[in-house]
Amino acid sequence: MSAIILSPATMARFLFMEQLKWTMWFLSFMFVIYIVVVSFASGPHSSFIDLVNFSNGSSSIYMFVLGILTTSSFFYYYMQQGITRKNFFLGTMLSSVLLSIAITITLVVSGFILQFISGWAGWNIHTQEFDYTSSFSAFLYVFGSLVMLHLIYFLIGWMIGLTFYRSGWRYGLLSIACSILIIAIAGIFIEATHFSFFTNIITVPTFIAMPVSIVLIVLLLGVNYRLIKDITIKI
Amino acid sequence: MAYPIEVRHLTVHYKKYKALEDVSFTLSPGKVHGILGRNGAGKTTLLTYLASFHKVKRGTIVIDGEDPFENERILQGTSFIYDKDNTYDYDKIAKILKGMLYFRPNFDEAYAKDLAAKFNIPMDKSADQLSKGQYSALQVTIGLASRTPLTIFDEAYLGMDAPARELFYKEILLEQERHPRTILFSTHLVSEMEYLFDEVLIIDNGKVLLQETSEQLLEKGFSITGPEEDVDSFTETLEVIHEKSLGGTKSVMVYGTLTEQEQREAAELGLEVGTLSLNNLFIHLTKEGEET
Repeated sequence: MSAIILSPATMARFLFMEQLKWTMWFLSFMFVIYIVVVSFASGPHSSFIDLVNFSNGSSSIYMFVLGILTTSSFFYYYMQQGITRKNFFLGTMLSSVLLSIAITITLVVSGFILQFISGWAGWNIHTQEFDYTSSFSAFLYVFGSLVMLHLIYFLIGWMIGLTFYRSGWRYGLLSIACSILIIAIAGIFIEATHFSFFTNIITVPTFIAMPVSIVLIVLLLGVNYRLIKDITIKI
Repeated sequence: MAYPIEVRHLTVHYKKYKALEDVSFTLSPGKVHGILGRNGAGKTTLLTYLASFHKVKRGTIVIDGEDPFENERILQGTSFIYDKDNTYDYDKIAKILKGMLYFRPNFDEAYAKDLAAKFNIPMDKSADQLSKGQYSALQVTIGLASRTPLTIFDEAYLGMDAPARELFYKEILLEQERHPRTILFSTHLVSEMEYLFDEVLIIDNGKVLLQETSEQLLEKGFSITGPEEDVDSFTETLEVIHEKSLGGTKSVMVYGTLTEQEQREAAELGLEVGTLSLNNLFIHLTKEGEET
């Protein structure tokens, strides 16, 4: 037999290319919606939030849905093609990080372009909850937060999809309850989140929030690996 | 290349239901193995374990000398073809076949296209537009063209019409000549494909009922026909698995071998001794409610 074809890197490439196509469709729709809304909602006397703020919630939900679909669509397909569970996990982990970066870059770059042309188009655009244009450090902070946020939502969706697939609806519902808790925790530590229950009462400094967010990501990866490592493929 | 398979004491229980009970057997490489059993006998359960869709909890499975579970080499060399739903398979046929090159190192795209044409599978359609039989033929095409050292067909013919099934069987024999591999063929339609099998494993109620080469198995069954009294006296000590009478003539099916002396006695009594088909043996060995 030849060398192993479905290595983690190959798996990551396949997944990333496919999910990137989906993502471009999603972002295109959102971009069109934003242009239409901003055209009507902003003018000399009224302003509208910028694209990054506008899309933050929906892009997180998009990643969440993608995470749920990962098991029922991608995992099931690739297992039939002879991949190991471990390689699929590693490939998905890598592709989800790349996708989180890609989606954030696309949003931020599009946001900059829209800011740039807003004067010409007569739009009045402002940053609302978080500002990434005032300094480079502010940009890095927001960029890193958004990447981690997208990744966390993907991992939560993946966890729910895996739990339903592996253990049925009872544990699946339990995983949804856990997800709400994780989203609440993420909301405390990541300022950029759209779903925050405690932001107004707790302010966590960046040097604590960032490492804790990374720990949260590692924990979610650990849970997902535990769920997938001996999962039964249902036919 | 072909993988040998060794299963020892494989036991699978779903709560109180015993799907497989202490199943042990060895399958030699490069042969077509018929995995026979009635509905619910445990065939698919066994095959999903061989394909590593489940993790073995009790017993062991060794394929080509290694535990197949999470084994990159073995999984890449194992194709599991079964009855699938095509509702959400939106890819074009040509793209699906081309895509297999990314997963199976020995996949022969030209052969796959040739086979798809023989099965009348329209290359310009998407998979969800295919009929049930066409989609089964597509799966079979992928299974044959992948040329994996272990190829498992679990009732993969479902929905295929008689000419398509005949073509499938013919291609199995041709491919086995060109690129020998270990093929496991699960079915309960024994009559039309018994000539394919080099070896036969019969599963009944989650247990291995018997495992023989086709030749050995066919030597183990006889039909004996003649006057009722003579047949009854001759078969008194034999294992009769089926009998029917018409007028004064009786015909029985016997499981076991006849010694030379028994054959001479049968000839002296004027009894007609014939062979049994694999299908007859299968039906009567797995008959419900009867001990065999």
